Amino acid sequence: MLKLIQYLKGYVIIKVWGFSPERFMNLCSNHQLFLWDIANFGEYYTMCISIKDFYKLKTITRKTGTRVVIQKRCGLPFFVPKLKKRKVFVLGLLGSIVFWIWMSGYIWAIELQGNYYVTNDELMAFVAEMNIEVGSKTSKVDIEALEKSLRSEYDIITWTSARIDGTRLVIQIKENELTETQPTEPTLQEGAGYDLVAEKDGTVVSIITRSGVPLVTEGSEVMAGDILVQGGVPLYNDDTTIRNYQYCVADADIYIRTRYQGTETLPVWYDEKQYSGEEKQSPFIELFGKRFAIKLYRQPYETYDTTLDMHQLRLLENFYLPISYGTERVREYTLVTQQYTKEEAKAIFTERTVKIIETLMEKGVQIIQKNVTMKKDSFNWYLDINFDIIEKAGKITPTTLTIAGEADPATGAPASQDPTAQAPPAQDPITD
Amino acid sequence: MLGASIVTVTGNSEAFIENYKGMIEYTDETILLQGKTCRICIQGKKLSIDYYTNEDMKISGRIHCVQYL
Repeated sequence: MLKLIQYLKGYVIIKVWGFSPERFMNLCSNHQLFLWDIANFGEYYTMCISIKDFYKLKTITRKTGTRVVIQKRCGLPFFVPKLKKRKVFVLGLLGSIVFWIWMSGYIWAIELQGNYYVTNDELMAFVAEMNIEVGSKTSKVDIEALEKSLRSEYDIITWTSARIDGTRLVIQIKENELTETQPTEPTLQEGAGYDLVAEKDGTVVSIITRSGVPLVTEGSEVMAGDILVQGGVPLYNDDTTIRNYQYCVADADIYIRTRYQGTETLPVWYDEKQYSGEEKQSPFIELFGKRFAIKLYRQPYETYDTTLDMHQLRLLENFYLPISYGTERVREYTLVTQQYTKEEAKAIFTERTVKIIETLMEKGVQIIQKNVTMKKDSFNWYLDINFDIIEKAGKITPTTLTIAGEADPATGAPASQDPTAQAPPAQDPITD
Repeated sequence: MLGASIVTVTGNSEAFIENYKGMIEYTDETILLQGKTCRICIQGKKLSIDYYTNEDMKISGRIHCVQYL
């Protein structure tokens, strides 16, 4: 602290010699002149004294017969006049400070986190639509509106958070992972009847009915389209004829043993990129989105891959600058037509089969027996997949139960109260 | 005691001295001070004065002995 004040006020290092330097120092202290860093170099002494005190030395030197010479000038009062001579330097310094402050008011990088389903490009395009781009003013970015519109535009995005870190806009999103596994259930109409219908052929292994009338039992063979559970409980007349149905939504846990069939194909011939090992590199600089490449060669290859290795400049952690640099690599390759060997084809098929099994397991399907066979013709390899599986069956479909001319299943109203009872049955609105 | 000098020595490298009248001799091996009641002689090597005011001073260097004459 004392050093800083001394620097701001300015001081000089003086060289003192002559008849009695000790007396000189005593007089200085008696006159309240502060001396520091006094050192003895044999015949002369050096010490520091503030500028203000230096001007008062004259009388003392005359009295003591010592001589004083300035050795060095230190501090701000000596530094400022030097700067005045170097105007361009000061201007540059101030200019750069203003430049940094001005630049920090813009966004120079947009970072997306947490998106798997929605691609980066898609999100970037959407963000650009909101007038938020690399180079837009930080103060004009409405984070709340961005978050809101992201959520409303994409149903799959359930949570968003945007924040500005320095000159970087970070958008974090969370996607709904369940949407894909949730089947779209038909909207059920109140009072209407719905059946559970088999989607595949098979044998019923177990059935537990919660509502509706089960039409199958354990062990019964069913065909695709068969009604498993009927969505209407019959009401009988006294003479055991059906008077009416009480409609309901059939609900049951039915497991049927069925067959999963599928074929996988793989072309025998395929093109493979064989890199010749030849490659060229060229550096480039990207300023404000415009790329300036320094190409030292002409494009020599017929077929090639281009890879970019790009780095964005930044100050500290979050101050991103609109300047990137990197190298562009061009690698030559030749397309070679190859043939899959039996082993290779087998490996690829095994991988695919494992994937199929995994998806089946995820759906809660139990696999009893696996049966796969591999075939080959002149163009393709084939894999026939035959699995014996036990899976949950039953698809909700509007019931077709009607007693002709008696009631509309959708409304469930008895015909006797319907004034149009004699007319031919109206078309079922649900089956439309 | 009124007028007595106070000498505070830290290790053998620093000394604070208060209550003195003035300096009689200063070389890099000896500093001789006039106190109000007696003289103080500090001997050592590479002695330098960090600051020097009317009230106190700080000496640094390698101090060998402090003598009252």
